[in-house]
Amino acid sequence: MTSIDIYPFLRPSEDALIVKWTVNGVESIESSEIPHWDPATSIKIQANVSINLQKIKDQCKFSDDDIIRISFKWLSLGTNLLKCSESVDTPLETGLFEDTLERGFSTEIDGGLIFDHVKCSIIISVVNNCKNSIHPFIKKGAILLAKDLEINLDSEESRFPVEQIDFNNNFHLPADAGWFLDWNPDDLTIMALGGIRLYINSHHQNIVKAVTMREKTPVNSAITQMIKFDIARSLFFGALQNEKFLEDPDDYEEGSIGKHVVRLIDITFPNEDINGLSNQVKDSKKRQNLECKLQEKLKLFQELI
Amino acid sequence: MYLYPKLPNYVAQSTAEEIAGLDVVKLINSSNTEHPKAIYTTSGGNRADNLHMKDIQEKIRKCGQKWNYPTIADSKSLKGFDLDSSKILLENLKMMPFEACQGDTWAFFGCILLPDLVRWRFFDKDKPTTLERFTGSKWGLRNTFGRLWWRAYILTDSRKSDPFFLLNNLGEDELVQITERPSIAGNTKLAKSFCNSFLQILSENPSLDRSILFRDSIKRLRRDIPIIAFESMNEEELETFLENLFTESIENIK
Repeated sequence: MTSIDIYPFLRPSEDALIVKWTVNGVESIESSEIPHWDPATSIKIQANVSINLQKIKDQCKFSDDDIIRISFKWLSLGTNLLKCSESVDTPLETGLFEDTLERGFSTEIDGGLIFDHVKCSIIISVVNNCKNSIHPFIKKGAILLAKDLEINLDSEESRFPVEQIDFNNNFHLPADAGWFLDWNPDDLTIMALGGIRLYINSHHQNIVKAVTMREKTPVNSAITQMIKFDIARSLFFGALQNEKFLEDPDDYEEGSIGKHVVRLIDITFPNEDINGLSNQVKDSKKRQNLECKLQEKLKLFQELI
Repeated sequence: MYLYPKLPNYVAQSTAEEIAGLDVVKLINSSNTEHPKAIYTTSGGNRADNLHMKDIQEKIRKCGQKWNYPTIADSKSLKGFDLDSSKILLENLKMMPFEACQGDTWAFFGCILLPDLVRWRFFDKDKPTTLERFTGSKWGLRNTFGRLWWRAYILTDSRKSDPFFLLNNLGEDELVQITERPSIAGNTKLAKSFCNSFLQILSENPSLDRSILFRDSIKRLRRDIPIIAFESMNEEELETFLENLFTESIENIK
């Protein structure tokens, strides 16, 4: 989009508009990041606005007949969608307005409409054609001032493919189990983001609460750590029993399950040979010890917050 | 909402290169509802299963048959296919924009699910079909199916007696000019208002040169976008603004 260096009309100074942003209850300045963002959830944004109306009127040389509009809009840089969620008009007639206008705007953005980055803006624009003003080029809707907040939805932290389903309606799974890791240990060439899926039982409220991280409590933390450990254990022991994997563990493409397991083994047992680990898996006594070591390496329950 | 399979770019590119010049009937046999290299968005919905993908595949093929598929079709048939399949995609895919804006979503449709329809829709007997019709460019706007879904998403108005009025009445070049300009397409209210005003002006002034008017008025609109808060305007204000814009445009092209 074309960027404008010089506007064809008078504009107020930046300090005429002050905005304090809150994203999902957390105060944010200029930019914000939402870790573990899930498109199935919405983002709650609050903008507390303070506008010096007298300054705008004086600096833009508006007359008593002019009206300005304050709007709250968002633009997703990923989906390219733009929406105005709320706007309010303020007349500039002497005696009809306070010098400073304080107002709160809030919106909830549906996660399905956004991707990558979201830019939220408070915009001050002109409502009328400003016939009496001294600037002839100003049009209805002209933007006088805008203040933005950019929200990054692409966290550095990697996310795991998770789906909530009701185990009651799925005859393969026990109705009251908490979670199920769906993957095929016989084929590690499949892409991890396509071939692995963690199913969470949607009617198991304690598990749902823990994985959605609505509240950070020691119990929720313990549950999520247990699930993570269970995933790592399944992948670790599954791969170490796969003959093709043992033959050539380096023969896996980037992004495949095999490649992820090789990395997991490198991190947890950097000094051990994969075939040596596989021999331990085959021996039931040694396998118990290995499982115990894995608990230690993955720091299970070492910190519960 | 569903999460749809995505074909990573490196797989899509090599697949498209292999199939771009193949015969339509051969491509029917190579099509599939799944692929070992397909990936999914990690969270945000349930995965679209094979039955759903098969259903979409059948519906689009059936739509193609109405317009001469798999034999070579004339431009009128291709326009008919575009229109009908836009509606089918919007109404049957349980897809949200966060999935639709990712090119690899549409690459799966073009390279794996319906490569035969891509070749048929953009057939050239002398050369292979352009790769971007199979793969997913930014937002999937050049992909055979991505472009149709976005058109329908941006220009369908469920409040109207004919929600597809704009799709039915705009020409291919006009649709491309709207959907491939992010500053207009992203503000769906503005895009719809602009197109409605354009068609209204045309019906009142049938002697006007349609393409010249469209190009001139869109140039004027794009000039205003960086300095005018269109998104803050209500429908009435927007209509008035566009009425003035078209009046200026008509004056200019007369």
